Amino acid sequence: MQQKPEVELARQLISGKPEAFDEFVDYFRKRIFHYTYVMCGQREDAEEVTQDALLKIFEHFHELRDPESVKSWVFRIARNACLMKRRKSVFAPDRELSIDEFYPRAADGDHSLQIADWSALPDEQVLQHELRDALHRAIRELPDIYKSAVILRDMEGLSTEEAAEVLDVSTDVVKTRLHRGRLAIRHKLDEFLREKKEAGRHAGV
Amino acid sequence: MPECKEIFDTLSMYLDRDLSPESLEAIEAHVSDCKPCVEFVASLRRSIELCRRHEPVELPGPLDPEARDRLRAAYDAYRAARGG
Repeated sequence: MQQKPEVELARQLISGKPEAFDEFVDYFRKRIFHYTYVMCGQREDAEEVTQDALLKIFEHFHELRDPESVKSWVFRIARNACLMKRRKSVFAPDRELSIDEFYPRAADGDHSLQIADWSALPDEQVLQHELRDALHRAIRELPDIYKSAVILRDMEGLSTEEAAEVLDVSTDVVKTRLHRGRLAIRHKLDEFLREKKEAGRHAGV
Repeated sequence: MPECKEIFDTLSMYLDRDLSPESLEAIEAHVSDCKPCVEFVASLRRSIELCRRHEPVELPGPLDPEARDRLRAAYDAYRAARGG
């Protein structure tokens, strides 16, 4: 169980060992909830979607052929449950992010001027909380198609191929969306750091 | 050597080492010699690391026993179907 606990848990459940049941549920319940909460934005919706997805997972467990692919299989079901829920509610359509939005610019052409000093990133203890909130906001504010790519690849650690399978798109599309999502998040954090620096300057720090 | 703007679209793949050795080398050559790009790549790398380490702010509430029973019943049905 060193590297991929979820694969081992799935293997045990497939071979009919119910001891792994609660651990499997706990492992994926947290992850599905996180994914759906970030995607749906509502706690109640996320709780409901998570339960729906888990039930689907067990009802369709015979369709999981290879325990190695359990993570992408589970997230595919979670994504569909999320889409079903969202179809029932009003939500804003996805906005395309253009790569040019994130290309640093400055009046004199020196784009280093537009980058905050990241080497002075808040020391984990001091501003950790604020930075964490800023990151959380940055992720939440991403249009869905970029958000799902970032969650699956950078937060849940799926490979490009696995994420492509979950999202039903090509690997190239995953790469493009991931890059734009990452650029947008970097951009927001950069703004946050610059504001912090400004505030510090005004406070005479 | 490629220009800043030319490599901008490939920086994630560069950081993920998901390009041909030639492309990686070309970007490396540019990035190591261009201060704005050095800073930008460092900040993007840091931002990705923060995402990777980001623990969910919100956790689900405790699993309701009835909800757990429904899940368990579905799993038991699967086991019974396999065994029977």
